[in-house]
Amino acid sequence: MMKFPAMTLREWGGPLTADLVREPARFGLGQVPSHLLPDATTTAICGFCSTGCGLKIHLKDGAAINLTPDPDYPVNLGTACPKGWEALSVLDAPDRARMPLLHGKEVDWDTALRYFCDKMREILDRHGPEAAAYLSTGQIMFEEMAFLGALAKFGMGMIHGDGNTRQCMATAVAAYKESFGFDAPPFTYADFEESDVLVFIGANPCIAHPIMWQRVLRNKRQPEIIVVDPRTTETAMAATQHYAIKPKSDLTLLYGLAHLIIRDGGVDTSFVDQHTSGFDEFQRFLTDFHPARVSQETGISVHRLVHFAQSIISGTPRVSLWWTMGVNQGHQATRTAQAIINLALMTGNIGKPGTGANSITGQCNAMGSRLFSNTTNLLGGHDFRNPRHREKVAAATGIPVERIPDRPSLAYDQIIKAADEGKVKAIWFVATNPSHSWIDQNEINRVLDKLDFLVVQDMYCSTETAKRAHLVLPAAGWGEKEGCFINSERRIGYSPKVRRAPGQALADFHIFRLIAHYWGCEDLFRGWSSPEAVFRVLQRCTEGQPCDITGINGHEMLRKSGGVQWPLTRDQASKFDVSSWKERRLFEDGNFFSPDQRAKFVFDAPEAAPEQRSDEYPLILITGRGTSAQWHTETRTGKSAVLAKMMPEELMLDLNALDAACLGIREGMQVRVISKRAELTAKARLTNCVSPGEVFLPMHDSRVNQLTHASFDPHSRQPSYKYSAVRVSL
Amino acid sequence: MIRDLERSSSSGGSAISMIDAALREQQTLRTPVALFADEYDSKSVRERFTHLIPLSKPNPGEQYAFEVNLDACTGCKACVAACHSLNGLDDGESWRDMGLLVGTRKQPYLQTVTTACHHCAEPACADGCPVLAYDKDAVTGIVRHLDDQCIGCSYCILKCPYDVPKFNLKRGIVRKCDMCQGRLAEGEAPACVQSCPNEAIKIKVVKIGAVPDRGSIVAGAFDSSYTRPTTSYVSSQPVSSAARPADAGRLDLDHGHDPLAWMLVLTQMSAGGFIGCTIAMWMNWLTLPQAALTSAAGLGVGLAGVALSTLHLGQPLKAWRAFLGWRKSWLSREIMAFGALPLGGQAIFAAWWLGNMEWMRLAVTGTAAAAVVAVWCSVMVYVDTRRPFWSMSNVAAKFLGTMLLLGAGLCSAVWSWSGMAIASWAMAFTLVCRWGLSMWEIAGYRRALADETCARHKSARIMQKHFTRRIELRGLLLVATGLLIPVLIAAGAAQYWMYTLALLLMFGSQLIERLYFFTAAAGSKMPGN
Repeated sequence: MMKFPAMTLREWGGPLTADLVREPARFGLGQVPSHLLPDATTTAICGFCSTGCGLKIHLKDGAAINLTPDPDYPVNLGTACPKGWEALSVLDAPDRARMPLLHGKEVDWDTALRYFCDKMREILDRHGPEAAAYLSTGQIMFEEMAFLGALAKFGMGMIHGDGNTRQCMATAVAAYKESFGFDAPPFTYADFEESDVLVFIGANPCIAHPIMWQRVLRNKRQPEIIVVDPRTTETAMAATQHYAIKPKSDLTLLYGLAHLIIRDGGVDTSFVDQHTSGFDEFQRFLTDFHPARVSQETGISVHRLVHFAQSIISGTPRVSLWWTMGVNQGHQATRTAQAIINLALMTGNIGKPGTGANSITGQCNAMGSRLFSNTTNLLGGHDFRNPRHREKVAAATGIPVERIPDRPSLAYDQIIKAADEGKVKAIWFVATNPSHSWIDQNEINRVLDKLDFLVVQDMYCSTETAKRAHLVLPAAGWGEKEGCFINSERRIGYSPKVRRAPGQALADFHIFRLIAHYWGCEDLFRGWSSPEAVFRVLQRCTEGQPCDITGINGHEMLRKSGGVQWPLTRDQASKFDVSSWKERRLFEDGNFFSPDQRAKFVFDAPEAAPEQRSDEYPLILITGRGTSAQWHTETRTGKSAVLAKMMPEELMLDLNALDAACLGIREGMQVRVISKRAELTAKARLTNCVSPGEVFLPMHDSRVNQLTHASFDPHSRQPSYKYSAVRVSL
Repeated sequence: MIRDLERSSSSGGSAISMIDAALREQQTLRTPVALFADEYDSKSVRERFTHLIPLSKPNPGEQYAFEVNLDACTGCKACVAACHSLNGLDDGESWRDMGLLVGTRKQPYLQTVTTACHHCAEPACADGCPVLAYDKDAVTGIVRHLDDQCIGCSYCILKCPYDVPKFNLKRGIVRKCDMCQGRLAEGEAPACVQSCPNEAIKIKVVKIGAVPDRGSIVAGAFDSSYTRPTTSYVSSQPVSSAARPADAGRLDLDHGHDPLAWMLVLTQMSAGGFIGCTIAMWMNWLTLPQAALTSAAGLGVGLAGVALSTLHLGQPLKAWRAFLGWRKSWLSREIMAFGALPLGGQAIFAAWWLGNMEWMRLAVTGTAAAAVVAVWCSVMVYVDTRRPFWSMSNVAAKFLGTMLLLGAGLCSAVWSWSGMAIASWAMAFTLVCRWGLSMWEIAGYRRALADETCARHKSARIMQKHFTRRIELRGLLLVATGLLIPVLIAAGAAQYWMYTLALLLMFGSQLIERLYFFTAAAGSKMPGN
């Protein structure tokens, strides 16, 4: 009904003003909008990246209506990036999967589950246990990951399963395992605040991990901040030293620094003698990496190389080295990560405040996946090939030992290759979108279309992969289910259910239970009745491992103590004190997890990237994070109108102004970016933040991975997204 | 039935109940009590940010202001999201925005810039508002928008050189940042201040007299002399002199105010018609019925324009308050001046009814004078926004030129239908206006396009990018009205048809011009992306 305005001259209040009224809320929140006044709060862990921020969820009648960052959580201290702030709004998107979809048509769960089991069983029966595989994720709760891994391998009899963590963290896993004897990131976030020198290699925390950058800025020691990145990123701008190396010359640079540190007397010989092995061989190997050569290969002057090495020497023993995707996604990524580890080991910068060779993780639960996804490793960081490990896990889980495969899975790329060769006939993707994110995208899509059975289990039915699926299983998302995440600093945090899932979407946990039932293997999982019950099973699996968490007293303890970093053994539990145990680092005693308790220097000669520039493709394409508001393939972040404000409306190609001048390209022009594999159009953004001969595209646009060249690190099998040859033209 | 039985006899029966149980469980939320609705025992919001906000209210001569530490702003954009969430704004609405400054070819440079309302010492939004829907708080200096007073005319959006007020389509009003004044009053930090991980945003107390009235607050921002914005951007390293907004090169269209474009062209035609009628009456060329007919045409066109302009208001029922802002707002003055049109119309009607030629002459003259004043107010409405494209010379020439052109055209058409000889003189004047105005426009456009230093260069490039076809169409219309129609008339085509056609085509041409008058205005804003 039309309302006539008041006849006063000025309306100071009224319905439109009331829309914006704020009222004091309880729970220490201060004022909140009146229409969003909570009657209770609870805390959750953000489900985007591995920072693992605590979020205070505002509840009304038990359902989440708003959120604010949790000021008491030791990770984020009351702040969050825009993705965290918008974590609830992306749950309301219209393209949420609400019903199972069989060949694009809605069916009920009974039909979907029967079809799933019939089809999988038929393929496994006819073609053997290697014919079906699952591809897991770093985005769901680790109780769910473990259930998926256990169900697929122990229950359904699959051999192969991997995760999208292969795309982000496999390198760190491989590097730590070989160097430290276990996949063990040694740091705690307090190290950001306690370093005198912070070296970021292939990392742009300002944009990709803003809340970690907050911890850097809280450092009161006026640290030297050194960034190694071919691009002048936001982090490079904020650094005190930036080394814009030639793309993928990082390994050479790191060896060159090691050479200079030895030359200039920066080695902590007592630490090296007592706690490491292989240093002599490493030292001999480094003789070739004299500054002149390194300068020529990296594009950094000898003078600056010496300054870099001196900064590390003078900052010791408070030098921390941090890396992420710029290192992990390379053709020799594992050795590069180990070259970083070597720098920390040789200078003794490990196990002390403000030190470490520290891998910043990607996804919220990549660290959970590393321990519990049952893909590369048997549950709890065990080895499928080791009979004692199989028996231990069998005892801890109650699964008969003969159901545990005696070999690890193929890696992601190998599963896809096997599918191309017809050996793998069915793939079950859970919470991941490879049709967008996998390297050389057209190739994987060709292979996916060949599969006899493609199942996608996801929150959204609109993902590029879901659209290709024969069967879509609608999953509840973050906030619609409970369970635990492990963040970059090994902190296990609990996240509750605070929303109802749309339609008939079910928590992944429920879906796995139902599949176990329909498959007829539910007896194996009788004890796996709830996420908390699975948490207990997994605790037993970790007993005696470096990641032993038998001392955690269930979800309740995680919730009450601001998360708990692994390890926490039963013995430690009695001494656990919430305030003093908030931040713990590994290797304080200098003992590592290898049999001889020594960390190992691992190294190899650098090799050229597989795809080189040519006359036809003279530019190197680097891909990476676009803005802090975007997450991976944007199945979630693309659904928030507020986040949309923070990202470019169209795909922008960063191109050096000199290259642009040669090509006759002006700011804002539509240009073609062409690789051997595909072509796309983007808008040119002329900048000096990429060097001549290099271009940059953000990875969030679904076309970008059509261009990328599929090469893999031989040790971690992680794809190399940062180096493809392209041509740009009008 | 049988199928159901089969199902339950196999594993199905219990399976279905399992599915039902799972669906039920999925839809069940634990009660708040079970979810540990713990009262907070740590620091409240009020205690956590005391170092980022003033501890006391401003003294007389002082006000609150944002201070942004550029060294700490690294582009996470949490402030944008927090403003939305903590203020309960609509989808996609946030009163903070994030822009980017970049370097030039020689120097790599990146600096993110968070920006909200600058709570100016001399707020142009408030000065322009016809209904006084802005209030600059006497104590805090916060420029507050009175949402229930707003009529949704969007003029503050044109007036603000920082693109701060935003139109809210759902509500038909403008909304903007109020510096979370309710929070500040309680000693709590505004949402953006609370949310910044790096404490880059602070609230300071500044002396109003010391707020700069020259330069710009950050590279790419509008000259501070206009509104005296109070936000200060501080940095340990001065912002690179070469820095420019990342979106400086973008040639985006501004919002088009279509009802206003129609209103401007129609009211200007009306004013011109009254001028023509007045001159003809004082020269004794018109009889009373002819004068009545001419002024009726002018009045009809003018009232249609005024009526159309209300379509552009989000809250037209509140527009009766539009006189309130007359002291400062040219829009308020324009609205009042056009309010004289119906009054003039009544006077003219009365004179015609009474058959008094003298009164008629006075009534028409008076209406013409009011209409010209109104058109001048229209000119000032746009000049007062200080956009280069809307400079005094540019807007005055366009509006007054349109007034003379279409006014003469209207008179020639009306008079030709009455069979009056002076219609031809009016048409001759129209042609002179047409060629003069078009040549002036074309020359100005070419000059602005060629000269990168010209203040109107960006608008010209926007027109070149988006409106080449329309500019060509206007060229064709010029040929049609300026050449073809005169030739046809000379060849003996019916005058009254030709004059009417000429009027319609010229109206179309001016309407096209007026539509891009808005969309190519290249309004200034804070650095964007």
